[in-house]
Amino acid sequence: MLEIRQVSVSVEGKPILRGVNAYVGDREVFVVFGPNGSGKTSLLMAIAGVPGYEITEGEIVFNETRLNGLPPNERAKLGIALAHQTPPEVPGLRLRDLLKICAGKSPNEELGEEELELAKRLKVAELLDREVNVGFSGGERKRAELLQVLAMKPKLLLLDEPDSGVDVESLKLIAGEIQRYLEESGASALLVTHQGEIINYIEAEYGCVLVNGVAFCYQNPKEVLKTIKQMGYDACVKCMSPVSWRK
Amino acid sequence: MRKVHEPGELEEMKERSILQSIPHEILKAAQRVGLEDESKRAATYVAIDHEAIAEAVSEFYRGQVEIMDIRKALDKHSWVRKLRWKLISPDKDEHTKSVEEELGGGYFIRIAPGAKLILPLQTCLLISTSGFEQKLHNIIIAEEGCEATVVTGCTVHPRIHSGKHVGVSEFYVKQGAKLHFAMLHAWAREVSVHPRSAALVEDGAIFVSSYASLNPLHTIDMHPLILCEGREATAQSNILIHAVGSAEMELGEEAVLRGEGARAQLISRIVARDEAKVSTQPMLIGEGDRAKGHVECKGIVLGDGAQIHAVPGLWAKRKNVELSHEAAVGRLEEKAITYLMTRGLDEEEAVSVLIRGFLNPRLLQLPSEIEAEVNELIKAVAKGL
Repeated sequence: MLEIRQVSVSVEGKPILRGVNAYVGDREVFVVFGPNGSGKTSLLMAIAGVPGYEITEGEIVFNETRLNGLPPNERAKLGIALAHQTPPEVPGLRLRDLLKICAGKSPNEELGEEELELAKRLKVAELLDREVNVGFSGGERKRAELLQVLAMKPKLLLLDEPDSGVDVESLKLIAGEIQRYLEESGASALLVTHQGEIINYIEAEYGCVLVNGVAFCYQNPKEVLKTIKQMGYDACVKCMSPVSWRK
Repeated sequence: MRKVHEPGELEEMKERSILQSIPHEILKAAQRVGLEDESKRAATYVAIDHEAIAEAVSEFYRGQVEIMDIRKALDKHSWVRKLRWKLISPDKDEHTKSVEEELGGGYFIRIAPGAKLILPLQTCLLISTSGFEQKLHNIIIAEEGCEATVVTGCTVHPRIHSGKHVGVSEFYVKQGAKLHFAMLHAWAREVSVHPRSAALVEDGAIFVSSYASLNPLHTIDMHPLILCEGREATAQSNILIHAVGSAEMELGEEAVLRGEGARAQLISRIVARDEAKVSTQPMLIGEGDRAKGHVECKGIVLGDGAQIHAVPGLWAKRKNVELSHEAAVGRLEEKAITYLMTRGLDEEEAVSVLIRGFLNPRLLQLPSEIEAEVNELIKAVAKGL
C-alpha cells in the first residue's frame, strides 16, 4: 500500500531524514519508534504532503501513485489521513463542522449516526459545538483528532504519537478505536511513537527505530519495544544496526 | 440624481404590507441585512432615501414600544427635542453639522419601562437614488428595566453604486434596561458612510452594540461612543469587518467607564483584502472605581495592497481600574490552512473556511434567522477570496 523508498527530507534547508525506507502492506500496521527530535513527525508530514517538509531524495508511493509533489488535500482524497500530534487551534470553526468536512458532507447536512456514535465512543460528543482544539485538554485533542481521521474513512492512517500525554484509560480508548477501525475497514496504519505502550493494544506486524533521521532495526515491533525498554534509545544510537528492511 | 422608484410610488407603498411595499430588487437587498415580515418583529420602521414607508408596531406589543419617523416624534413629544444632540454635538464635524442643517429623516424608538420584547424590533434604511445623500438622526430610548433587540439594516438598491449615508444615533439605556442594537451594513463601491453614535448607559443597564460591514464601500468613518455612566453599567461592542476593493475605513469604539463597577468589552474582527485600508483605534477609559474593561482586536490581511492599522488604547484615570487588551494583526495561520488541507480541502477552500470562522457571526449575538443571513453573506464573501 505504502512504499517509502530511500526518502530524505529537509525542513527549511536542514536535513531531517536520511534515506528512510519503509513498507506498509495492505491491512498492516507499521510502527516507527524514536526519541524526541528523531524525525518521526517529519516522516508523517512528508507522507501527508505538509508544506515545508521537502522530499530531497527518494520517493513515496501509495497504491502505485507517486506522492512526491502532491498537495495534502490530494493525498487525503487518495485515502491518507494524518492524526496530528499537536493540532492547531482553529478559532471560529466548530468541531461539528470540521467533522462534516472530514465525512465529505455539505455544511447543511447533519452528521450521521455513525459519526455521532463514534464521537460518543471517543468521549468528545460534548466538544462538537466547541471551536476546534480551542481550550481542549491534551487528551481531548488526541481523541478529537482520531474522530476526524476515522470519519475520513482512510485507507491509510498516519498516527503521530496518539499515545503521548494521555492517561492509561485514554490510551486504551484511543488504541481500541484504532484497532476497531483497522479490523472493520481493512485499512493500514503507520504509527509513530516515543513511549511505545500503545502497541500493547494494537496489532502491529512490523516496526523500526528512527534516530537522527536514520531508520534501522526493522523487526517485529514488540521485539523493538522490548529492546528499547531494556536498553533505552541511547543504546539504539550506539547500535544503529543496518538490518535490511523488508520489501 | 436617478431614482429607481417612480414618483408617487412611495405613497402607494405605505398602503400595503411592509414587504409588499418595497420594490422587489431592493427588498432582496433589505432582506440580506435582516428585514423580515412585520409579523415576525415587535415593530418596524423602513425608509427609502428620506421617505419613511413603514412605521408599525405589531398588535401584541402595542403600548410597549413606540416607533416612528424622527420628525414625527419631534412634533409629538416636545421632550425628544431635549434628547436630540444631548450626547453628540452638532458641531462635532461637517457630517453632524449637515444633519443639523438638513434633517432628512431617521427613526425614534422608545421601549416602555419594564417591557420585555421577545421579538426584535427592526429598522431598515435604504438608498434607492444614485448619489443620494442620506442625512438621518435616530434616537433610541430603552426605559427602565426593559429588554429589547433592535436590528438595523442599511443598504442600497442593487443598481445604485454611489451615495452618502450620514446617520446620527443617540441611545439612552436607562436603569436596569438591556438593549442590544445590531447594525448590518451592505453598501456599494461608491457609497461613503458616516455613522455618528453615542450611548448613555445608566445604573445596572446593559448595552450591546453589534456591527457588521461585509460588502464593498468607498469610505466609512465611525467612532461610536459608549458612556457607562451608571453603577455597574455594562457595555459590549462587537464588530465584524470585511474590507474589500479600495475601501478606506476608520473605526474605533470608545467606552468611558464612569460608573462604579462599570464594565465594557470591545471586540473586533477585521479582514482586509485587495487595496482596502482599515484603521481601528478602540479605546477604553476607566474613570470609575472598580471599572473593568477589555479590548480584543484581531485582523487578517489578505493580499499585498491591503492594510490594517490597529491601535487599541487603554486609559486608567484612577486606581482600582482594570483594563486589558489583546491585539493580533497579520496573515492567516499557515498551520491552520495546512491542517484543513490534510482533511481534504484545497487551499482556497481552507482559506474560505478559516475566514468564515474568523468572521464568526455568532460574535454578533444576533437573532438566529438574522445570524443565518449574515452567515450566508460571510460564506459568499469568503468564497470570493
